[in-house]
Amino acid sequence: MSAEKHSEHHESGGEHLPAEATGFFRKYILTYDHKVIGKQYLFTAFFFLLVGGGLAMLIRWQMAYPNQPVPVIGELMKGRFVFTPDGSIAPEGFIQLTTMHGTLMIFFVIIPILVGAFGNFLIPLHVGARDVAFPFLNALSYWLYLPAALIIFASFFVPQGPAAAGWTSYSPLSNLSGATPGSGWGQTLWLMAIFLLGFSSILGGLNFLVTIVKLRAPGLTWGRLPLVTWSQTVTAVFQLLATPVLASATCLLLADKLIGSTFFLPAHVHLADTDMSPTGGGAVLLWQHIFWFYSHPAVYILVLPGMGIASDLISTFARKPIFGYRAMVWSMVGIMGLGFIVWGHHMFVSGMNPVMGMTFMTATMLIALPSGVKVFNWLGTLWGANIRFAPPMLHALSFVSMFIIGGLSGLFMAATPVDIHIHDTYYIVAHFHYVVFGGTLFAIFGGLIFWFPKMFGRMMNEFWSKVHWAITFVAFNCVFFPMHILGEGGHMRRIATPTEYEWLQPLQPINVFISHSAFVLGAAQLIFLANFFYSMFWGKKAEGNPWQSNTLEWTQPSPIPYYNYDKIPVVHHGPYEYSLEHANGRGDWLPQNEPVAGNGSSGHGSK
Amino acid sequence: MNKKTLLVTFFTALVLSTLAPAAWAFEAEFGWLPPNLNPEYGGEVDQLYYHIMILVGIIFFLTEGMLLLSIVLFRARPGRRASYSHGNTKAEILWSIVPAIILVWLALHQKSTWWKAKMQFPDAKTHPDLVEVQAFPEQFQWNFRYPGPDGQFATADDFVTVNELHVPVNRLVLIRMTGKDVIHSLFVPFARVKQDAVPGMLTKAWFKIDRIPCWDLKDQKLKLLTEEEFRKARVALSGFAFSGEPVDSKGNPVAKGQLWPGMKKYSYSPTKSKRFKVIDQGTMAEVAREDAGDLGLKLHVLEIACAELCGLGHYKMRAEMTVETAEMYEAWLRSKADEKAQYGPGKEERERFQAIWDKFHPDYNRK
Ligand code: HEM
Ligand SMILES: [Cu+2]
Ligand SMILES: [Cu+2]
Repeated sequence: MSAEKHSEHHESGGEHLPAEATGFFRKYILTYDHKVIGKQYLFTAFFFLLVGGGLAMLIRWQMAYPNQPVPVIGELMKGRFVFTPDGSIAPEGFIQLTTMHGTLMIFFVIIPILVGAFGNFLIPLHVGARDVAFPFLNALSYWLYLPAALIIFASFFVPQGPAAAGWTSYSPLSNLSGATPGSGWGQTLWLMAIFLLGFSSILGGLNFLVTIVKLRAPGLTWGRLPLVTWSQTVTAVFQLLATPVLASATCLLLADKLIGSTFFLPAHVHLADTDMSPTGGGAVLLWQHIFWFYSHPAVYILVLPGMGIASDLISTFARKPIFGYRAMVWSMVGIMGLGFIVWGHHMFVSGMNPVMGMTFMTATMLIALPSGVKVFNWLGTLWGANIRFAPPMLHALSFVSMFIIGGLSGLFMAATPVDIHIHDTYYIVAHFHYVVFGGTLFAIFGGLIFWFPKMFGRMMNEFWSKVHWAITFVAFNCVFFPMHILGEGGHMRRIATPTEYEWLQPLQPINVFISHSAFVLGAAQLIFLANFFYSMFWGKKAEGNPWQSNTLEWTQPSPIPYYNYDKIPVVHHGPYEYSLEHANGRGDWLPQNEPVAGNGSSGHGSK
Repeated sequence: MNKKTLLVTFFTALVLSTLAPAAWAFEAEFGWLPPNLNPEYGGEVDQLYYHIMILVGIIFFLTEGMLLLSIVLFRARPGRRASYSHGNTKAEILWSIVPAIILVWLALHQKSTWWKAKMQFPDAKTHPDLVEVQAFPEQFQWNFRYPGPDGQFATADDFVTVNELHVPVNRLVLIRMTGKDVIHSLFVPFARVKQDAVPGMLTKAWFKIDRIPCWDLKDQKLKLLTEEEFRKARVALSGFAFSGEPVDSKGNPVAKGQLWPGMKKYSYSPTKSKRFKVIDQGTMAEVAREDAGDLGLKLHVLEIACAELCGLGHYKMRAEMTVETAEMYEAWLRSKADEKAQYGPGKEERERFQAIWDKFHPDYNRK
């Protein structure tokens, strides 16, 4: 259905639309409504955010106080899961904690929130459609995500516990069941979960792409699309091209594990004195190449929608059009293009041919360029603005400043000789937490507070939002900045007892400081969740457009009605027409569907 | 300048000026990079690191400064209005081209160091005194094989050490490795060495160590002595002396084979207790003093770790590298030859080398 046909169809009468579903089950569980599906993703991901966050707290306890009993939790869990009979964390179980923390956060929290929750909720609203192109596929992709999530959760309870080969699951550690306890059932479930999740991603990406290409409201040209939606477009392409690669990789590894193939095993890999692969024929590095061919793009899947959200929030609260809209779009496209040819920067010292290291290094340096352009354009947007420091804006500004740090630390690691020293140290951990937590998670917080009225018809409490932001911002930096110093000091990642190494002992006070900050950071998130759920039911009732924002969803009441738009809107200009002097009698904003009275011009950004 | 601008400038300067020293103090307190003992390319790695640090530092202060300044200058006030602008093509071209040039420069700038570290391996032809070792790590230990007196691997006089690497000071060392079970990664932080050892592949790492680490028992500090300093300070080393023939602390000759029964005898290891004690922070930063003094020095070791997640015992896959003078190294080699004759430690591992490495990967022994 083309955009025009769609609107014609509507104009012939809204009464043809099927009636709104009634009853709890139809409305909230087995629903095709993109808004509800978005919330399903959101709440499932919240649950895993809590689990993943809890694991992080345990990791930090162990790093600060190796082998000492964990207060309270250790007492309760004595002898179970990764705990020793005296309630401390077994160093042997530590890597299960790091593996599951990384896996849950990346695959089951960040991507589902960014793409599943925000993508679902916002794309149809932003393109002025009543739903996504294929509502059934949309529901299906959630119903693939949920079993995947249940499978990964179940892996905590299987014999020998969950996977323990890192979120990267390098073969042979992940491949040979005897290599490490979690490499048995835990790893198998891990692979099955990721495989299912991959399907969910592919269906989601396809759906979003078709929706954006085909269902845009009349007048909504590519040049008038909000950047959130642009970022979802690019992300969807990423997902469509990269995820099948991950799916095939997990299939091959599953085959290695379950039916004795040797795609990722060379000949004569020995566990103790047993030859595990007498015939061999596979290659260890093959897994790394395929995994990173997906996972480097995936890290951009982790941040692009965040960039989109930040762009929208910044323009709205700066009351100023986004600086260099076209450059913003092209830099995302550039990131996507380059994102497919930099994966080797994770493998500089892996044994990959060093000449290829040079190539990947150069490509990685280049990808810093579009990232830089985005930063400069956000700064350009803020210059000369009239900034309102509402909670969403505080998060958006934090996104920019933290993303700068994460991008800059990327340059050290992209420099191959420097990476020799800092690869697989806490420097890497610092880097990706700056981009993923400092960047994306702040964007998520900002976005949730911003669109909360559209989701639930109420406002989140402003005071507590600000308290949460302030503690999170300070604690975040206290946790992750010092990790750079650990990393350059040579502190390996994923080790359970740093104090066993003499050259790391002087760094131990930093570990203690980080852990204390981490406990504060963790606790602060409870403020957010409390605020979120309290406001859902008892928050202040929201008006249609509390932030005086321009995009289409704000022309509708809060919460958004079942069919989004009774009348498909007609778009007259770009989404960022703030502070334009116009005759419509609005202060400094101009909804996208409102022609400028008088001069007949459709405003700027009409290309 | 009106009062408001003054205030704003002051505020911004305050924030920036507290950030920098704070970061600096933090760094100075705990040391930047660990000391580098590898003159071949370690220094270049560090230099590159600092170059990037300067570059990144400038960009950091410019961008974050701009951000702060905008936050302060352009905060919403009654009656204010943002400027209506969709961008400035000139500015955008400028801030695309300048970083592009910087990044290309940075890419070119590091080429030579990378080539040196990872591609230009020394060989025995050009460096007859090259020390060649094989590493065959397994869960969870580092097995090192030395070629023995004949200089050839896979011969009867090879010997294998476990978690113990000896290298002579100021000589090039080349380590060939492959993985036995899973991927491990040889990490020598003090030499800027990191290389994965991968099953089914031969990988190589090379370096040279130009200082001898000694533990100063009086100051409880690591001292990194040059060979010359070390030789001057030799009487102070407890337990041995090395004037050609091995002698004990009183200067009496000792029988071969008893002198180096293993590292534990002379390695100071404050790390053994479960509960950590934070030792002096100077450990990281302190480098050689001109005169090491006469008393209380012990030969110390450099630690080697496994940087790649390799399973449950990953965290304790620790080896020790002893750096010593040529004479000490020779004496150690001799003592090892004796130990081997007695089937000392490393016997099982030696058989494993033969049964797996030599049997399935004979080509990895070829030079
Ligand atoms: C300026 C752009 C960036 C550059 C130059 C860059 C460079 C790198 C390099 C070279 C590594 C590998 C380091 C190593 O393992 O030794 C790395 C790791 C990583 N980067 Fe980035 N990066 C950039 C931006 C991002 C962004 C935007 C994200 C995600 C939102 C991200 C997420 C990650 C993650 C998750 C890892 C670690 C994966 C792992 O080993 O577990 N990076 N980055
Ligand atoms: Cu990457
Ligand atoms: Cu290892």
